[in-house]
Amino acid sequence: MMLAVSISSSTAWVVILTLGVLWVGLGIWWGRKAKNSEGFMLAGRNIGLALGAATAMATWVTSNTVMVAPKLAYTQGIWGMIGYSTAAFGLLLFAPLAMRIRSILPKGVTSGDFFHQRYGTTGWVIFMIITIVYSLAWLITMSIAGGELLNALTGIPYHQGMTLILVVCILYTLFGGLYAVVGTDFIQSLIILVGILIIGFLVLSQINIPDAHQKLLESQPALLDHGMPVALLAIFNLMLFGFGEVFHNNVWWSRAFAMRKSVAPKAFFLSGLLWLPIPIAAGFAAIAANPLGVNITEVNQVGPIVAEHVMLQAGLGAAAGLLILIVLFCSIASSIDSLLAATSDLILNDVSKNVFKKTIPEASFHKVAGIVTVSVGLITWLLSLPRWPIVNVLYSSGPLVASLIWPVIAGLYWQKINRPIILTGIVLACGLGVWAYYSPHLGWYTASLIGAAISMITTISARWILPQPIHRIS
Amino acid sequence: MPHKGPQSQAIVDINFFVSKPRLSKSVLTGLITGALIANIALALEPPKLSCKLPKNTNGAYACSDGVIDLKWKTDANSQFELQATNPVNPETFKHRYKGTDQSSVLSGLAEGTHHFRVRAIHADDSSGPWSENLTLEVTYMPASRVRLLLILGGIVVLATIGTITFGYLNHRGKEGEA
Repeated sequence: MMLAVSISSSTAWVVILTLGVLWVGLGIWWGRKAKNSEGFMLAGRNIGLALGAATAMATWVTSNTVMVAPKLAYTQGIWGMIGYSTAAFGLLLFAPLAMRIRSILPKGVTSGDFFHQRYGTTGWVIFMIITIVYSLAWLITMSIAGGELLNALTGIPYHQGMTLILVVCILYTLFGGLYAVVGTDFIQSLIILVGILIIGFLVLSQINIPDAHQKLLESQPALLDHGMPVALLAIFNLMLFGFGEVFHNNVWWSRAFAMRKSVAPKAFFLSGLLWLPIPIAAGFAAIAANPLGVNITEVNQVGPIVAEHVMLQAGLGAAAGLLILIVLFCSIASSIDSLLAATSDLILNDVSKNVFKKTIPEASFHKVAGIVTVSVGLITWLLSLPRWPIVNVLYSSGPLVASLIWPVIAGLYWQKINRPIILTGIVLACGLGVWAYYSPHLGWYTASLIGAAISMITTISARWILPQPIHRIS
Repeated sequence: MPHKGPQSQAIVDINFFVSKPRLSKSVLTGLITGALIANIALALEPPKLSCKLPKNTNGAYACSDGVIDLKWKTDANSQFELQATNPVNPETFKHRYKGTDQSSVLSGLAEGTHHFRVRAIHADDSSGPWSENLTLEVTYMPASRVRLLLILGGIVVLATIGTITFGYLNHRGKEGEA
């Protein structure tokens, strides 16, 4: 079955605009606390445990979690479902890293600061290329997913829906900075959790487990096969993709800098634990598709299709579309706002410091920050207009981010390294990882693993072959 | 979305022809017969089953992840029935789907050869002819390569976790040290 248009486009406009006004209003309200650049970019470095854990968890609950986790469960079965949840280990492992980051960079603002000081201008340029490609691809896929979902659920034309979601996120990020992002993330994460719990409960109440198991054995046996090659390899691939994303991206570093020093490690660890079961709950619904008699016509929409089916079966009618719309809108918004803020901060802080060799004066900071945020949003909007299948760019960027795992660890903990070897390793890992992604002999499910492995070998070599003392971080 | 099918094409407003005196009875009969023949021809035409996977040297579609996105095209306004064989029972087609959708993503397919076919089921429960069989060969990555990559994955993940743990323990309490 395809997603039925469960609610009218006028109702959808009302719901989205109400949520939009709420987010923007809260953004302005919270944004009043942002008196200076540190307040705007890092929420005054004073975020506590509850907000810190919630913002980290909500940012990790992207539309990918509610869309890709079910897709992986539907195509790779039990291992696919568990494999996606291992991305939580990225957050769990970032907890000790956050402690070290706060210790060595007490005045740090972005992950770019770290790369520039540890790996010089060349290292910073390589990092910026990787992170901008990855972050823009992520932003664009989120806005495309938003437009497509609104279209599928409500009939709102793609361009209108995509623009609506982006404008709402740009507005509250613009007014409130990280204060607004963290605050809205907290509310959004609660809504997402409640939504997924309801869907999971409905699936459980409508399925007979032994019967479902028998049906899967007959028609989709590989989904239950503990030795399914694609799924087994995808576990490591997804885990390393997650490590690479969390370890390098400014979305996470900005949160580490924004939380109180003693809170950061606990908040990341807690958010990892909270996030861990979410893909399993979302994926379980997808595995149940066939036993529930749901025909999947579009694999990217397996989650919403099953959710809609079980809610309609439960007699929830129009509420089905409404709940799915709200949960998906919150998932997408919680990622778009974080990416907008973190990418804008990276450009604002790093480009001004490392390219123009200037620091933005406090008096004009809000104006410049606004221009950068709107520009990033505008670029995202322009690149989302053609509805490119850019999701492949995002997926194939797995080896790019995985190639940064070991350079981050080495830069944080090691005292001596051979910088040129590490930088050569990053480039090599990116190239061979992307090659593996498209190779018929290896496949997408090995790409991040190949990238991380090559980078690991070269980084370890760099510790022993003519190592030089690392640059001191001021 | 309503499909333009044989039923809709067969609806002919007789009054339209009767009110046109210049149309002879034979022309009217010819038009109606033509419409009926076209309708029957459409009903007899099997759906065209396709997928976007590449073909291997045997001429069969090939995949390495056990997933196929099947689509079928027809002008018939009907329900459809999709059947498939599996490598264990290659001669026996089993029911996979019945409904109005014109596509289906099948996943978790076992390694080996699968055949798929689809046909239209009309409102009166009569069924149209089966489509041509679409053959898919699922070949998963060789076990030796999987083992090698799994070992590599295990080493990379354990080394990453180990190095972070060692670094954490080694630097714990060393505040402000760069």
